[in-house]
Amino acid sequence: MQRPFIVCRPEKCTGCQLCEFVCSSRNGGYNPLLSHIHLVRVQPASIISIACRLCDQPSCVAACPRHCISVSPTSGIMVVDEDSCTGCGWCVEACEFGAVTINSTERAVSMCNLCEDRGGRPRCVEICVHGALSLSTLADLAEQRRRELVLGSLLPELRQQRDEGKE
Amino acid sequence: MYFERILVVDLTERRSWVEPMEARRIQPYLGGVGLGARLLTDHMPAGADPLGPQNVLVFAPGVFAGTPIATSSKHAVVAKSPLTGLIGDSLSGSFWSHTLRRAGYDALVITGRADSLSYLFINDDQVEIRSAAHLAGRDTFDTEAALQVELGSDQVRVACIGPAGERLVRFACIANDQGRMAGRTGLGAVMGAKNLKAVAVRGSHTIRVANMEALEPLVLELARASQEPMTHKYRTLGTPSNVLALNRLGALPTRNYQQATFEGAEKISGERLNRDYVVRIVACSGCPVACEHLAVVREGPYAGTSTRVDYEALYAFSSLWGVDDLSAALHAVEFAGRAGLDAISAGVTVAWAMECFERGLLTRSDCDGLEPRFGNAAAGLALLQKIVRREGLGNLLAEGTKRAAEQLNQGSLDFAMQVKGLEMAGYDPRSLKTMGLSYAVGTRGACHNRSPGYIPDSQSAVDRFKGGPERGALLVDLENRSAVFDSLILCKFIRGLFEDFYHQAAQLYHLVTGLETSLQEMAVAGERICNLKKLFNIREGWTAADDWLPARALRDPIPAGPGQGVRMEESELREMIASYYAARGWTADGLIPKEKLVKLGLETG
Repeated sequence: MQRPFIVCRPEKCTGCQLCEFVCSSRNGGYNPLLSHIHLVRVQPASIISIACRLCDQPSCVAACPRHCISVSPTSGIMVVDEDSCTGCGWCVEACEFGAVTINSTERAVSMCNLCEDRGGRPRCVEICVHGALSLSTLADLAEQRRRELVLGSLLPELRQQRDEGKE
Repeated sequence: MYFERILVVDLTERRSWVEPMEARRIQPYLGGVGLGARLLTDHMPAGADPLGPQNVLVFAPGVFAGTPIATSSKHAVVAKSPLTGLIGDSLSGSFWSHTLRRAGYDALVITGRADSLSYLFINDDQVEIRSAAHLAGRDTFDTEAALQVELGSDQVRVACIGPAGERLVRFACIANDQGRMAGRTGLGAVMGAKNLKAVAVRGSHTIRVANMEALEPLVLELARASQEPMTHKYRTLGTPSNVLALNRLGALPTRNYQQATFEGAEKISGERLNRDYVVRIVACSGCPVACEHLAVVREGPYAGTSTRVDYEALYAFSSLWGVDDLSAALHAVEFAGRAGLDAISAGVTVAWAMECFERGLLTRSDCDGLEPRFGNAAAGLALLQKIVRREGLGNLLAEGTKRAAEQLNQGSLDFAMQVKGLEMAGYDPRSLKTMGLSYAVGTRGACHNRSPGYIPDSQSAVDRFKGGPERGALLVDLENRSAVFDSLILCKFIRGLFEDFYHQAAQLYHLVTGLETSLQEMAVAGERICNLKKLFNIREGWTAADDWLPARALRDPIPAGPGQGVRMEESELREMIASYYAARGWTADGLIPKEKLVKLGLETG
């Protein structure tokens, strides 16, 4: 529960897709189909990006008939044994978030690894200038929500009461 | 990097093939509008009927599309325009552009005419012409959604026409990605004339760049800069902030350019829009700026309207009609987008009809019982519907202001606000004199995007009420830069981020394509592309008389406001045009000397 993962705040996401572009660049080029983070834009205004949530009891791991997916004990990311993976896709079916990426040409699956190759500075978070994406734990998120609750709804009310008191 | 492959589809013969085009042959035209103009010129026989099978419709993304370079995921559509009979080129943004590239092509060239309504499905190397009978008459949003369901994925991206394009309305547009439009010059009618309802694309290839390591820091720098004050306008109020800005300048076209200030400006302003209508601000694919304002009408007769909105569409359906009901204007914007109409041309054409009605040139019975006076939004909307159906007066208006006025005559051409057949964008040329020159000489007609003369005017870099011989060189520079923006492609909303544009553009181009280039070569590319478009126009019958403004701009002074009493003097316009031709290195008649063509590599010596 305390492991950080890629979180998207839909109200801040503009649907620009830059997260997909830069995520896929780990393969030496740009291709949204190979991205580990997936932009979903159903209606013009219904937008979110989704990546692996590093579940504690991952359904992808449970679903794999060949036991090719394991959870890293240190970071919690899903590690795929690409040599054993046949791309059967049961993990894709099992993941409730659609966060498993299947490479249609190589028939192997992969998931967000929090950009381990760049020392855990995720490319997607770096390019997201609107601050929709962050590398956060659930505890971070809860804290942020509480803070916004106070700033967004309680403080304006107090300010208004104060201003009204002045009149 | 370029794919060095051009996909050619002949709809008549029902076959397609790939033409190799080496990177060094694309480089002089960069991509986008430049490459599109080159391919059109090469593939279309001279004198082709814009609505005949010989016209050629080119879709050309920029070479940056699909990379994370800010705002680069855009494509150009280029064909001979059914409005102007000259070059028609229009840009649109978002997913479609890089999906075509990821199918492995630098451009798509469509010739011929399908024997019945069809759509094209490009799935990497597999190219099929399929029946679109089931899509006939469906609007642009529906068509896109239906094809995504039919083809099984929203990774399939669709560029399509609405009913307006099918019925050959001369100012029909091409839509993609839920409301992005290649709006101007009637390219949707070209598509309709080819019996082509949509181009659906799916691409699986990876877009490679020559030097990703060096590109990445520049990408990040541009993305971050995109949130700095230079783009503040686009991110917050959006382009509708122009309403009050232009009203203050006395340049907000009102009641078909009879006035240049609008008493209802506050009610249709970007400020009002944001406060009462905008629900979200979103982005095109590939764009960190995010300028797309999504507006929803919650109450009143137009409740349920939901649309993206920009200044040009807004001006054309509000102040230009004397309408201060923002809900009605938004409804018109949504209608135009779904039907596949260029909002600017549609708005200007209806405004012309309104003036004809007020002057008694059109009667109630001519208007099928409607009374389209200025301020009557409902009548304006009804006329838009008639245009799309080509019903009654709508059939005349569907031809655009120039043809409609030529047919009605009785002096109505004097206030048909168009140049070369293309209806005017939302800037009054009398109080923005550099813009007046832009409208007059622009290769695609009265356009604000290829020829953005409003920039020095509105930034007080010149005396905007008075033209002068320095404007020629000023406009040439602006046009050349725009051509590079439109060909790389980068969105002009980030033009303020570049301190040394040609240098930075050359650097990005080199890192993406691996080709050697320089600041000078980039500048020459802009000049070359502008000249190529002019060369196409000359081939298709352009004469010096085409570079002029409608009589209203020259004859009728602005009646009130900051520009009161100002009009464009004939001598003033002539002087600016002469200075423009001279700055271009053209003859006094606006023709391109052979040496110039040779120097630019547009002709061999």
